[in-house]
Amino acid sequence: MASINAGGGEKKSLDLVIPLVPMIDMLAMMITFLMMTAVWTEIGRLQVAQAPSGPSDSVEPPKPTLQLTLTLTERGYLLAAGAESVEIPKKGEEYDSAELVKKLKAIKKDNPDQRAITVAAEDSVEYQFLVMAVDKCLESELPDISVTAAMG
Amino acid sequence: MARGNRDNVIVVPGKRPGKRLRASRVFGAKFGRGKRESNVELNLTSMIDIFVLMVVFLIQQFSADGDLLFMTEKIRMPEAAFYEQLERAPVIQVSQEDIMIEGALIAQVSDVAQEELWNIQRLEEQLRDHKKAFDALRMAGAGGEFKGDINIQADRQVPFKIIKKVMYSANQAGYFNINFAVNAAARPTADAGEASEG
Repeated sequence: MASINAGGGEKKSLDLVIPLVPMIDMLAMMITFLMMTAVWTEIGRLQVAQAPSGPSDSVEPPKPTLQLTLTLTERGYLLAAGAESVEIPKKGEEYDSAELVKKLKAIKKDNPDQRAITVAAEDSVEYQFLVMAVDKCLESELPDISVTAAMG
Repeated sequence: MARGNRDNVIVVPGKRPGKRLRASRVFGAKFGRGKRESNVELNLTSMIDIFVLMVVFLIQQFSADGDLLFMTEKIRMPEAAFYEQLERAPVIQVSQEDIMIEGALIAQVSDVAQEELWNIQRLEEQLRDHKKAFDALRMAGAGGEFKGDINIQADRQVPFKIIKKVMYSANQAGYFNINFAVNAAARPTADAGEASEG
């Protein structure tokens, strides 16, 4: 048995027995609890405002920037930047989101202060495509998103 | 019955070799197995290692976000990659059939779709009640500030016409910060972005 001289001729034992049983009990209880409360799907949120009156979380004062509007129609995207507009037609049944991101990033590159974009959709557009469009705007670093109904 | 037999009324079933066979060097060992030490020690070190790894993994996976929404099979939420952490706020659920607030039925989607008006009257009233309840709690000393947050948990195939009316009703009731609840998706990698550009 290992020992150390504690002074006065006494030898103190260095051997220590760790009580494993309560530790195993605790670990088993923790595993049971965590398995019961485990959430395997991660949930998040996309924050939007309702155009035109909805406020945003932006702390910075608004700067005069480009009027950027993305409209979702049955045919595809319609991206209007100021007076110019460009149509991004659907690829089959799917919206061409890769092309949209490319165009939004190009606009962001030309206008680094641009943060705001208005996303409009026709009544028949499915919610998942609206969410996808909002997600692509966030990917293109345009965080101040307003959602409105498409006119006409 | 003989007295010697009465002591062994209950016996363990199995082969019982005779004395000579048991004493045999060749065959005796075969019958001696049952007399080996029956206490087996568990290998605790590896077991505790596995337990600790499982606990660490499960703690990493732990999330209380699921409790913020009413998860149901009727609503299949869309996916998004650039999401933020979900926060506690009144939840409006929109399935392909019903519109609910905090689990209470408000209206049928088919009825709302036929309405000409933009706002859903009952939803607006319920939201106003929620806001009043929040204000009453705050007056009573509860912490927190009204930020006008609302979570919309809608099915991915619901038409925008319904979402538009829900958003408008929330806006009319004073809830301006609208959050779309989404399932988390993987963020596109830089390589994928470059490939799509090329």
